[in-house]
Amino acid sequence: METDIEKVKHCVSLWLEGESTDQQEQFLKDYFSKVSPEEIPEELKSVAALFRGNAALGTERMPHTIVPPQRNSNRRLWWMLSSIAAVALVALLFVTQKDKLLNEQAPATDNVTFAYNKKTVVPTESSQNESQMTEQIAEKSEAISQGRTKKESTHVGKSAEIYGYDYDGKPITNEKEAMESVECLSYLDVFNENISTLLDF
Amino acid sequence: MEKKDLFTSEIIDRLWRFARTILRSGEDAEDIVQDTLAKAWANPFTMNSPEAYLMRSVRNACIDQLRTKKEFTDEFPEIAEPGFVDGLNDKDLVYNALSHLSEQQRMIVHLKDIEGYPISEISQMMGLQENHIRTILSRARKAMRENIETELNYGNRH
Repeated sequence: METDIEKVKHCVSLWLEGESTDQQEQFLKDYFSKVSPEEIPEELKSVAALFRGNAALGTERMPHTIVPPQRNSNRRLWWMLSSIAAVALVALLFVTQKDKLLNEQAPATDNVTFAYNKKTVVPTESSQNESQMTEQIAEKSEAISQGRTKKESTHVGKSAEIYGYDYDGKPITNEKEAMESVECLSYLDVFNENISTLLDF
Repeated sequence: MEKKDLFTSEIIDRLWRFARTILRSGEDAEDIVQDTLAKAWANPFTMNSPEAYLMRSVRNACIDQLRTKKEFTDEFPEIAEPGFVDGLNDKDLVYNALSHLSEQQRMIVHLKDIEGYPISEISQMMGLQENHIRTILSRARKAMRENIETELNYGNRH
């Protein structure tokens, strides 16, 4: 049909300029795939070969197949078993050595103690060993509980019963607070003992 | 898209056809596609368009291979000649005409006319403006038409 040929020629000229639309290109593909070679005008034979050749090339398949890499299940299993064994070993060591760690006497750290009554907690040197400090804490607890306290002047000049000094260095005038502070200090001492033992171990 | 979806035959064939057009060798194209997919499998996959990523990867791998080959063929120019196509069937005519184009022209013609990618996607893959893509496409199509006309006229005379 002449109309089709004129339309084909028009679309081909746009296609060669790179200006054809998707619809015009689809029209040309359909036309050249259906028309018999004898009906194609001489000037369009090379373009027809282009369209048919492009369509044929677009259906070709790679000769050999590619499969996804297989996960190495043996390797994964080995890693899992190794991890479980490592965790079990650590747990076993902890369980068997726990009693030993907790019951052992901490070696005397003669010259190191923590000064709870200062603003910053820093290790300071002291001539007292830890057993003497424990005794002092026990004595002070007993003194507080028996009401044997020392009257001292506070920083503002007023008299009050001072049971001890807190972390910031302020006087503790409340008995309950003082008892709690002493208890806390004793727990901290035990904690320090255990840390030192673990570090040495 | 999951990693295993990369290994569908449709994507693999598309990658192979593209690599073959660039390299003008089906065997080399297979190697490139296998290497590209192996790397994609090994790496974490977070991009939105894996296929476009793979096409770009194949393109880059092909260009690297061509550069390596060029150093070799500069010394042995007879090896650089495009493959001789004996037949006059349409597929062979187009394949032969493609081999006479530059690498850039071959890539763009393949992506547009053989695989059917829109100009916008080709622009992203190639890193070129759309107008530039159309210009390259126009020149390549005209060159291929002339090459095929020559082959057809030669075939008709003999």
